[in-house]
Amino acid sequence: MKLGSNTFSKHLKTDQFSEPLIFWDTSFPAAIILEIGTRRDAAIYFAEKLLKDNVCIAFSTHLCSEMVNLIVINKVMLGEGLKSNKEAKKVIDKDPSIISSYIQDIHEAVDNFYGLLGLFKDRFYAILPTEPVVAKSIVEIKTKYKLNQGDAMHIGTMLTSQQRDIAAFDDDFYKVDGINIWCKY
Amino acid sequence: MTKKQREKKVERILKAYNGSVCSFEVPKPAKKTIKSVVASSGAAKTNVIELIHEIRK
Repeated sequence: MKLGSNTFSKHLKTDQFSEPLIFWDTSFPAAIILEIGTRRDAAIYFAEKLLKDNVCIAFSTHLCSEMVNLIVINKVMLGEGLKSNKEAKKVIDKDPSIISSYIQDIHEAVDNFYGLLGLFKDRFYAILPTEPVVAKSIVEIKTKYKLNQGDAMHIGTMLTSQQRDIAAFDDDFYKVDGINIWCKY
Repeated sequence: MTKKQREKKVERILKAYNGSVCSFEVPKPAKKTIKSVVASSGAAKTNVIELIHEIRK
């Protein structure tokens, strides 16, 4: 379940998550909101455990804008019958008005995302990446591990407070030493 | 870890962010389980990792 493991579900059934707070990367709520399959099942299982154990969650506010962006691209891809997200992004870049056809679906998914956060009401903390100490940490992490800006925003924000537990599915996070990636299924 | 110890630890973590912690209002859903809350999100056969890599390029 810790770094490098791919047996999350098996271990989670016997382990107790003792940390009082865990960070979320965008890939975690995105799997719950947008996917079907084993990754989503693992994410839901883990999130329900966090709820049950009264674990607090924290995330960079960047997560919210990424989630909306992901939802928009995904809904256009599905609605237009496109083969890939890459193709959907190109279509949107070319003509953003195409989004208007899928506004209802997008709003529904956004509502579901905030509904998910609502389940953690009073126990979630959104961290602004604007405080100098957070901003510096993001730059440092980006440089040290050659991460893209999005990954660095999440990891840098987390490491500002010396926290090392993050719920994520993004393999790029394995570049970072000494963090505990939860929910690798 | 007792409830009080957990609260103290969270408090200490949040203090490290100085003034960067914010909150925003989200309604508490009437439904209690995650599956019921996200049931209508239109989840589909998709790969969120590819999607995330796409937007983080």
